[in-house]
Amino acid sequence: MKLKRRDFIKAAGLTALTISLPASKVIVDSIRREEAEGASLAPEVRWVKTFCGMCGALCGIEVLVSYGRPAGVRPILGHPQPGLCGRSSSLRWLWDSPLRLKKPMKRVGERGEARFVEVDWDTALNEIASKLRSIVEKYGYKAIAITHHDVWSYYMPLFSYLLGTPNVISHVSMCHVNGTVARGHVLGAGGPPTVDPDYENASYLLLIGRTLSTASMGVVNRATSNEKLRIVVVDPRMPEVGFGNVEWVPIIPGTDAAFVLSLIHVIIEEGLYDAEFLKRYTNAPFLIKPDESPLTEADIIEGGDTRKYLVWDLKVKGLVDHKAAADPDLLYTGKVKLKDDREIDVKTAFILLKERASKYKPEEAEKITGVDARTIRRIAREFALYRGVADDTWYVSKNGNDYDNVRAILILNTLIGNIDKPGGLCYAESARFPSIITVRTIEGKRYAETVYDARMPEELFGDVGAPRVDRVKYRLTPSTFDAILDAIIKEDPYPIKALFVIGTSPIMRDMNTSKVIEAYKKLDLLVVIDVLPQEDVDYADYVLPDTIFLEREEIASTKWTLHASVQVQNRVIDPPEGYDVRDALWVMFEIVRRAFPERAVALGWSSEYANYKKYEEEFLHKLDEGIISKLVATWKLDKEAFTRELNEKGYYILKRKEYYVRPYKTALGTPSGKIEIYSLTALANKLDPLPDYSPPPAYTLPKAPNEFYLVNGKGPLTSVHASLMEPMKYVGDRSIWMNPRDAERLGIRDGDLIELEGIDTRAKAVARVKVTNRVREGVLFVYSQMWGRRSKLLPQNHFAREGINPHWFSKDYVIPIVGGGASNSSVRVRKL
Amino acid sequence: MRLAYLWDSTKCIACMACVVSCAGSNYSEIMRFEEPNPMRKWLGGNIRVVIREVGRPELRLVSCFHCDKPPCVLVCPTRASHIDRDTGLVLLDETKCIGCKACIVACPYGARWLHPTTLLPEKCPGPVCIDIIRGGRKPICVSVCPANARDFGDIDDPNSSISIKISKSKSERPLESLGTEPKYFIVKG
Amino acid sequence: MKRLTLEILSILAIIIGLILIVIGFTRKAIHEVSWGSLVVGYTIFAIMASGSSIVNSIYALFGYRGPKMELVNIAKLGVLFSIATLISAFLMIFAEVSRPLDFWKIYVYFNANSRIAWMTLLYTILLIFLIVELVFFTRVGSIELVRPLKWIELVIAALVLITTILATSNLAQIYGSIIAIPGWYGLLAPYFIAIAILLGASGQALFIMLTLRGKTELIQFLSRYYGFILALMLPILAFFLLWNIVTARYSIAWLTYSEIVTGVYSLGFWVVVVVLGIIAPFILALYSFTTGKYLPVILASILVLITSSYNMYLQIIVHQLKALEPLAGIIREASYTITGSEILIILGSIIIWPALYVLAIQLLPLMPGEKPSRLYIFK
Repeated sequence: MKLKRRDFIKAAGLTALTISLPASKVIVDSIRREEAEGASLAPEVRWVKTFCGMCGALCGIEVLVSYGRPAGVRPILGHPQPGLCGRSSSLRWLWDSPLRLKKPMKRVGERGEARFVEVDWDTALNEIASKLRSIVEKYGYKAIAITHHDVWSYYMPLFSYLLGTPNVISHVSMCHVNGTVARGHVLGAGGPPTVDPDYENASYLLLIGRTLSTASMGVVNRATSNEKLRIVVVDPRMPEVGFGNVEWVPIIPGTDAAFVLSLIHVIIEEGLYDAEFLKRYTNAPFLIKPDESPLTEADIIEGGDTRKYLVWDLKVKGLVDHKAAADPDLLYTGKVKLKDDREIDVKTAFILLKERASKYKPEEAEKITGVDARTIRRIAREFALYRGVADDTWYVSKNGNDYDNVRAILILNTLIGNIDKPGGLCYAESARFPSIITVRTIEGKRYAETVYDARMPEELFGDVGAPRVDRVKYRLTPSTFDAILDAIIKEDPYPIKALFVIGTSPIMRDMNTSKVIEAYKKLDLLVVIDVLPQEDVDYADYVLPDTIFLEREEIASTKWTLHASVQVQNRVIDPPEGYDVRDALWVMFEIVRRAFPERAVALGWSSEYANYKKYEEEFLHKLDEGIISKLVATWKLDKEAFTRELNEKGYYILKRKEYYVRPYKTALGTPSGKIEIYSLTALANKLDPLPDYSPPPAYTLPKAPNEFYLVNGKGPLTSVHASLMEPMKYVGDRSIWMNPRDAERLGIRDGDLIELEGIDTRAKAVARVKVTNRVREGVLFVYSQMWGRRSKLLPQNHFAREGINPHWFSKDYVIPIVGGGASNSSVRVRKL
Repeated sequence: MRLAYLWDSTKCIACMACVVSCAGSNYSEIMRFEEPNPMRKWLGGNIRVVIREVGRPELRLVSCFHCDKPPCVLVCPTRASHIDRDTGLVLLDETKCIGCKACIVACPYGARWLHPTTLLPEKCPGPVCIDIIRGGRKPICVSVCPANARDFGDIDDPNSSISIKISKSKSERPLESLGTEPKYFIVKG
Repeated sequence: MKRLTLEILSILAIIIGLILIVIGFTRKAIHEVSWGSLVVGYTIFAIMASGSSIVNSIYALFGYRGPKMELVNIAKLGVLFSIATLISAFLMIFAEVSRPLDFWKIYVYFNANSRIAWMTLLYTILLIFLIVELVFFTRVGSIELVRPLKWIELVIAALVLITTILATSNLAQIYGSIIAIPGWYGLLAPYFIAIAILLGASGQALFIMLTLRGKTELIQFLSRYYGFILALMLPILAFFLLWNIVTARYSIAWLTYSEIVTGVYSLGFWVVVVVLGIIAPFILALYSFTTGKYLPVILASILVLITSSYNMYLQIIVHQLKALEPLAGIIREASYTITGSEILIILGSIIIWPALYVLAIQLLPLMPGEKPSRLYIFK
């Protein structure tokens, strides 16, 4: 080793540094003190209230900006959904991440090669516009599709009218569709936040296929501030909430319905149900005919009302319309004479439920679920006696039978009557947030009117009214992206030729990754709008860099609270120097202005807004104004006071949760207006009106000793973009969990490499094993939507390449009619 | 005044807010290092995560536990590592530290780590949190926790939130038998 | 001419050594363990120096001169060896800390509870006393001393011995008082003193017998002398080591000690430390003691130096590789591999070690019979 001059200099420099270190420390210390105080010691140091966008929960946080950088995060105290978590803490790594997409790019190689040239915005937007025009000419507006997740989701209906296409489809088939349809059918509710347990006041919380420790730390906050809350979590793996004082019940994947029906059986058999509640507020006493349909007035009287559902009233000992009955009999079975003099047998829906549940006595359920009968009985009794609440679930696209799981859970809550009561399963107050666009009839003409009062006449609607591709196949679905893939690949029901992927990663979120990639390659136009190099970027024709939440302003309703609340996203900081990023909102409008100018104009866009500054100052302002003025009109607030409080506190509670409303004072959005333990909507759609258990249809069940369920799930760090940030290298778990008994049987030790082969998809991958008791026997667990990155734009040694993307192994099973996907799969394991 | 920490193991959900916030706020200068903490193969931050995967899986968050009888203070040749008179916390006077690493060796909890550029020992509280604490507020890990699982305050004051929590819970201190008397209370029930 | 060449060569060697140390210092990497090879090297050299001083006190304090005044003749060389070794030790520990230029802070902000603070103080005092002793021996030289000078010589020697025993045992208890590392915790002082004497005697044997090659009778005496010391101390070392292991067997110290005795390092331990480090040198030393041949004791000395260094490496590094986490049943593991920068620093110190010794012999009247002529103590 030869001595070089720089080593001398290094040595001298180090000596100098050592001596001078105390001096430079003084400067650093004073900056840090200011950061710590967060006081306006300097205008360069301030806390800004906003809500977090590191996942889709949007918890209320404050971000410290210090000398032009995001420097700290803390929750907004008093916010109905305060943060925060490891993702939120990572936001300072995101803002000026070297990985961040900085300039528009145009593909030069083949799709998937990830070879791009940087282009300026005008070039990119003009070329996209021109391609769109030729696609629309040949195939119509409906050949354009957009897929998204939570980012920019408020604006998606607007984009639908902007592009004239019905095909704006989100991620929800891989998230909560199965639960949302169930919530609609049983409770007349919608997405996951529309009903939620009253965590703050509950005494016993049953989490079945729900972790609580995933997104929405606001929910965690509410649950953990409840000192007397007992939690039982039923899951094939122990979620993070299990580290606390929580009972973890390991269950065989895909058997939740059997478990819950068994609980229902015990509660019914032991008389632990709330009969009064069932009689008055549910359709349990409805009389059901042998053809499964309910007995109505029309059946027994000529010209009778089909919406008068009949029950047997114990008081008058006769058939009465349920709305008028004094004391409907829950247990009635008997004969009824129809209007054509035929006699049929009828049973109450409750009896049918009882018969259904009796298939799952605890001893039977034990064989199916792997949970022993004593535990099932105990939980059922505890649930009833403690007036528990079972969470209505969130991420339930797992095994292809999840729709029934959620229905069973909702029925379980209904049985003990713990609906819309303190500590029960409650309907959230709606913030009545104005829709971005609504169709109105003005002087006989139909218009699509935006929240900022632009009006698009009906003749410009384009294909908005055409059948959406997923609704053609899955009548009840809120959104099924797999149908888009079919439309792209098989042109069924009609071709889709252009796809905008906005703030989401279908490769990380959708089943059967190879199918997603096949679709990408078949498109005429693929535009990806994102902030980081997700794998989908590799296939894009154009990559457009979006702004991140720190650089935006927005008002939104607070998701995870029972109160009606809105919250504000204040602009925390501008994009870093040299990052030429623009709002997707601006991008979509500018594309359409260049492609179909009249459409953009009709929706209130001016060519002046091509100037980004003008867009920020004028368009965003009128958007903001529109939302606020509609909110204050709806809630009859003083605009000044409302805006002031909203900006000062970061949130505004419009109405506190009022209990005992639904279904007590207000009818539900179900056909009967009541809680439907026997779903008439399901029946109308040729689905089983009662939930039942069936083995998971989404994958071949594992049989051989080296075959496993591959279950994926989420945790407090799950986020497609946050998982690329530097801290995740250390706190993110990229391993595959295996139970110690399975590991011993296969001769696998902690830290070993194994090869997984999908039993259905034949995909293969290698990953490291973590031998842990946090997963039950026969099951492998892996975190989804985080690892196994194959993006060519990521550095070769990036830690996110480790681990697997579980969707490589999942088939593309979609629950018929309901439209929910299934991300679990089964794999064969081989030790390397 | 003796400031102490509390961590509620019955509520912690391993969300990593405290772990990542501590690193990001206190040690932002090394936030993009490939290896910000080579000694612990971890984030450049003061909180480590220990998980037991066998039996009933359990979690511990390890950081400086601010012992009343701290081995790191006894071993330090220059009194750089000392118990702060005002707060009772164990602090490091960097002007006196010579980087002998005795305090890192002496800590039975492995709470200290070597900063990759200054080559001096680091531990909780980090430089930003020290200022926050001196300003009378709770450190960053406490303020970011979503699960109400952390607290901080004066255990000599019976009315502080931490004293009240301790008096109402079953709690233990880590590695009690070593005689270090850590001012860190782990709530077990 | 030869003297000038040796002077130039040794100065060159010192410069090269310092350069290596500086280069190594600037390239230091962070290990998973806190105390690595530099601390090991420092410990070895420091106790070698203090052990050598214990050996010197056989003449200096207890007055055994040898049948033909042999020990009187080598007294100065013995003290020089201690000083050169101690300076090399200091170089390694300076390079080990992150801020060597702040070393003075230990004296100024002295923490009386800290074994390390005392170590610094005691070894500094020892160095001062050794230099005083060397100057004294150089100036006074002959055995015909008048009474007051004799008393001074005894007082200095006593101070050296007391300081050296305090320093060695204190250095041992730096490790021995750390509860965080059960493999160290306990009474290591007698064990370290035994190793110190062994290292000191071996080092002296090598350095001094090489310096005096050609002087057959002196060599013969020294072979018996050093052979005796080694043959006496090796069983004592074995005794302490045995009880160290046995005690560890029944405590949590076995967590790491088992790796040494029965685990990954067991081959190295049993073959190198026990067979080559205790049994073989014992036989060789005994042979030299009984026959007066120098080769066996030289070989024994080399073996002792290498194997005791390896033993010190095991004792310091391996016990840091595992620790208990504050969660029942979880062990925190670390790994350690020596890096290039540490090798450079150790190499530099090892080059400076004999270079200082040789340079001093060229400049000062330290050989038997030499007297000072210039500048008070120079030749």
